[in-house]
Amino acid sequence: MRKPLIVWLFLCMAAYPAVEPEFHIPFEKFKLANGLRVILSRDTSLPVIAVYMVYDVGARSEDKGSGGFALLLEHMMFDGSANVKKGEHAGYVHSNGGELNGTAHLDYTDFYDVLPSNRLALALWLEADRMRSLAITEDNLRIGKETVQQEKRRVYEGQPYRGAIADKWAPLIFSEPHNTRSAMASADDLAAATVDSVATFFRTWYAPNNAVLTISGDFAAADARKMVEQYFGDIASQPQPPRPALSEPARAEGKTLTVPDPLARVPAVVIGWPAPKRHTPDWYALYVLDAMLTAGRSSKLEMEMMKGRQSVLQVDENLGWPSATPLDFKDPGYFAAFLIYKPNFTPEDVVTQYQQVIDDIAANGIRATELRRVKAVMKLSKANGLQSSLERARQLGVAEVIDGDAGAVDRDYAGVLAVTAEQVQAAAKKYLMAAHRDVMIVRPAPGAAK
Amino acid sequence: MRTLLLALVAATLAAQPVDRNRPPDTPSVRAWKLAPVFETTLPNGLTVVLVEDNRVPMVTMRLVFPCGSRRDPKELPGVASAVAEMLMQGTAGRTGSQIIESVDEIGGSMSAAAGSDQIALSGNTVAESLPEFLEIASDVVRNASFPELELKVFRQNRRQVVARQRAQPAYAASEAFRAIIFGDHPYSRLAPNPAALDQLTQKALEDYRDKFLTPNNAYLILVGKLPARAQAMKVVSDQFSSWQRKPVVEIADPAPPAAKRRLILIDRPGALQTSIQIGMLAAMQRDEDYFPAVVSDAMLSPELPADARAEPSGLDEAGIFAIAMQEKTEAAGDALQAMIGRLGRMATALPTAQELTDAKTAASSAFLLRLESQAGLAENLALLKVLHLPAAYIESYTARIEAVQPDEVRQATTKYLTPDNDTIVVVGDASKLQPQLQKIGTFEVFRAK
Repeated sequence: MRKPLIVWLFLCMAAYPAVEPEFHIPFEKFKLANGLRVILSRDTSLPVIAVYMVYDVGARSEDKGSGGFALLLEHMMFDGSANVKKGEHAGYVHSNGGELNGTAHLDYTDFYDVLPSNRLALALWLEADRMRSLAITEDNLRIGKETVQQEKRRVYEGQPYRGAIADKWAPLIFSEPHNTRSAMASADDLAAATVDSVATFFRTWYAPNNAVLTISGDFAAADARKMVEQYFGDIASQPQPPRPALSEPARAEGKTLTVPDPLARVPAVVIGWPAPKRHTPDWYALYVLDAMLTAGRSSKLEMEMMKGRQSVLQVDENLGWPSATPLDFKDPGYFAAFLIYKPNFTPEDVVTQYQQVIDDIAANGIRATELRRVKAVMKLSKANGLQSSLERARQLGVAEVIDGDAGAVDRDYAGVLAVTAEQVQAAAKKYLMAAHRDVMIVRPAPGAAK
Repeated sequence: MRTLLLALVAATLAAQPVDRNRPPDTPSVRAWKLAPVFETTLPNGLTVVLVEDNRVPMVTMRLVFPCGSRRDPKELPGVASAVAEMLMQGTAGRTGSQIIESVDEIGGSMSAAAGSDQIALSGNTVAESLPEFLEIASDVVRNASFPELELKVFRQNRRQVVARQRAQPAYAASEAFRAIIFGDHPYSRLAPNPAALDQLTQKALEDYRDKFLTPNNAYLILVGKLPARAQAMKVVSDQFSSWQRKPVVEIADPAPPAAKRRLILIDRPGALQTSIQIGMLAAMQRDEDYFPAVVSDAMLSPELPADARAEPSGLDEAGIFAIAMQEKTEAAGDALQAMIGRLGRMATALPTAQELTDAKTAASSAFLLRLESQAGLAENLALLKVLHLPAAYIESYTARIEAVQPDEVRQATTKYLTPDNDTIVVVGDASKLQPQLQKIGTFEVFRAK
C-alpha cells in the first residue's frame, strides 16, 4: 500500500512545479454510477456552503439549428421542474438569505446557490430536480425565447461595441464553424426552436455524465456524499454528447476588418493574435505578459497609452478576451486587447502605438522589477479569489470541466509563478508580431442602419 | 438505553430514502465563533485590532477615523470626502503615481473613502509585504499633501459628479428626505453645492487632516495571515508609534427633530419615472429594537417592487428606516398607496410563523455570507468602532435575530414605519402626480433644484 503512494507523490511532483501550500485548494473527487463528477472542498470557518453545478455545454457545443440553445436553457433552468414551480428556485434561495445565478459561456454553463450550511440539502434538491425534470413546456419555451431576445437587445444590440464584437470578431480570427459562433443567440435558430428540439438538446448535454457538482464550505464529507447520492444517484445518464473538434488550421498572416457601429460615439479597435496551447510554458508566459500590460493601477498600457501618449481612454485586455479570463474556455484560445481611443487619433496610430509596446518587450525584454511587480499583483488576485466558498467552488468546477482536472487550478498558478523574464520576451517575439496580427476597427457611424 | 434508542432511530432515518417531492427539512444553522479578536492601544492612542485568518496568505486592512462628513464644518460641506479622495494623490515624499506604483509593486491594493461617520483607508496585501504596505498607509494618512493641481482636477470632477447625481430623481429624493429627517444635524447633507466646492482649498484639507486624522482618533484593523503576535505588533509600532497624539476635538451635534408626518412633492415637469422615499428616524445598531427592525425589513423586502428596497441604515447618532421606490409616473400613486397599506397591516397584524422564520433566516444568512471575506469581516470590525457597538455584536448577530419575537416585529414596524409619523418624498411630474396623491394627503410642492 505504502510504496505505490510514494511513487504516486513522486510522479505528481515531477509533473507539476510545486505550489505554495498556502494557495492549494484542498478537495476530494468522486464519481456517481451515472457519471456525475462530484468535488468536495471543505472549509469550516463559517456556516456557509456554495453548491456549484457546471455543465459541459456552451455556445461552442451548439450546431446548425441549435444556435443559442445554451443561453436559452440557462434561462429556462429557472422556470421550474417536477417539484419546483416557476420562480420558486430563486424564492427558496432568497428566503434563506442566499445568492444564486446562472451563466452560459463559450464552453460551459454554470449555476450556483450560496446558502447557510444547514441548507445544503435544499440546494442539492433544487439542482437535482431541474437536472432530472426540467419543465420544457410550450409556455416556458415561449417565455425563454422572449427573455433571450430581450437580453440580446439589452446586452449586445443596445450597447456600443458589444454587438460588433459578438458578431464579427470570432469569424475574423477563427475558421472552424463552432469557433466562429456569435455570442449573440441566433435569431433564426431561436425562432425555429421547438419543445422537442430543446428537450433533445437538454437531454443530451445536461445529463449527469456531462456535469460536475462542486460543494465547498462547511459540511461533513460523509453527509454530503450521502445527500448527493440520495438526490442525484438515480438520474439516468445519457450517451456522451458529440464533441466538435475545435482545432484551427495554422495561418500565414493576420486580417483587418472595419465595422461601422451606429451606437458607438468614440472609436475603438481590437488587436489580437492566436494563443499557444493551454498550460504550456508559452501560454503561461503570455499570461504574465498580459498581466504586465493590464494588471494593477500602474500597468504598462495604463502608463504608456492612457497616461503617456494619452491616446487611449479605456483598455480591456486578456489572454482569451472577450471571455473574462483565459481559464474560461477550451483551446483554441486567443490573446486580444480592446482599446477605446480618442477620436483625434487614427486607428493606425493606436495599433502602431500598441505594437510598439509589444515590440519593445520583444526587443529589449522586461526588467526583473516589472516581473516581480506583476507576480505580486497576480498573487494578491489569487489570494482574493480563494476567500469565498463560491469562488473556490467555481475555480475547481470550471477546471474540472475545461481541463478534465480540478487540480489544474494549482498547476496554473505554479506555471505562472515559474515564468522568467526571458520567457516573456521570447513569447512576445514568437506570438505577437505585426505580421500575424488581427485587427478589427469599430468606427462610430451615427445614424447608420443596424 | 436512551442513547441506544436514539442511535436506532438515527439508523432507521438514514436508511430511508428522502422524499424528493418536497423541499428537505433542515436543522437550524449551527453555532459558530469568530476567530479571537485581539485589541490593544499604542501609547499615542492608536487602537490596533488584529484577527488571524490563515486561510489565504493575505492581510486586509481598515484604518478608520470616526469623523466623516458629519464633522464637516457648516461652511465647508464636502471637506471629509475631499480629504478621502485626495488622500492618495501625494504625500510629502511621494507623488500620487508613486503611491500607486509602490502599492502595486508589493502586491497590494489601497483606496480611501469617506462616509457620514468615518474616513477609511482600506486595502489588502500579500502577507509577506505587510511591513511595506503599512509604511505606505502610514505615509498617506500622516503626510497627505493635497497638491493644488490635483485638487483643482478633483473640484472640477466633483462639480460634474454632483450635478449628474442631482439630475437623477432617486438621488434628489434621498437628498430631500435626509434634509427633512435630520434638520440641523449634519447627517442632513448628502452633497455640497457647487459654490461650496471652491472653499475646499489645500489649507482647508490640511486643517481637517490635522484635526481628525490623528492616532488617538484612529483604529487600525488587520485581518489575515499575520506574523506571530509580538512580531505583528512590532511591524505596526515601527510604522505608527512616532505619530503624534493631538487634542481630541469634541463636537456636539444638534439632535435631529422629532418625527412628524411630512409630505413633499418635488416637481420635475415631464419626468416619466417617479422616485419615492418613505421612512423616518429609526433604531440604531446598538439599540435593542434594531434586530426586530432588521427582521421587519427582511419581511418587507421580498414583497417590494424589483427596484425598491427597505433598510434600517445604521449611523452613529441616528438610524433611518427608509423604503426607496421607483415607479412609472402614471402608477406612482397606486404603488405608494399600496405600500402605505402594507406597512399599516404589518403594524397591526402579527407575522405568521412561516413569515417570521423566513425573514429571520434571510436576515442572518445575508449577514453570515458577508463575513466570508476578510474585507467583510474587517468592515464589520470597523463598524463596531464607528457605531460604538459592543464587541459581541458580530458573533451574537445571528442568535439575536433568531430570538426576535412576533410581537417585537409588529412593534418595530409600528414605531418606525407607522404612516402617522413618516416622511414621504415624491420626485416626479407634479401635474400628473398631484391628482394621484390626493388620497394620501396634501403634499407641499417644491420646484426641483
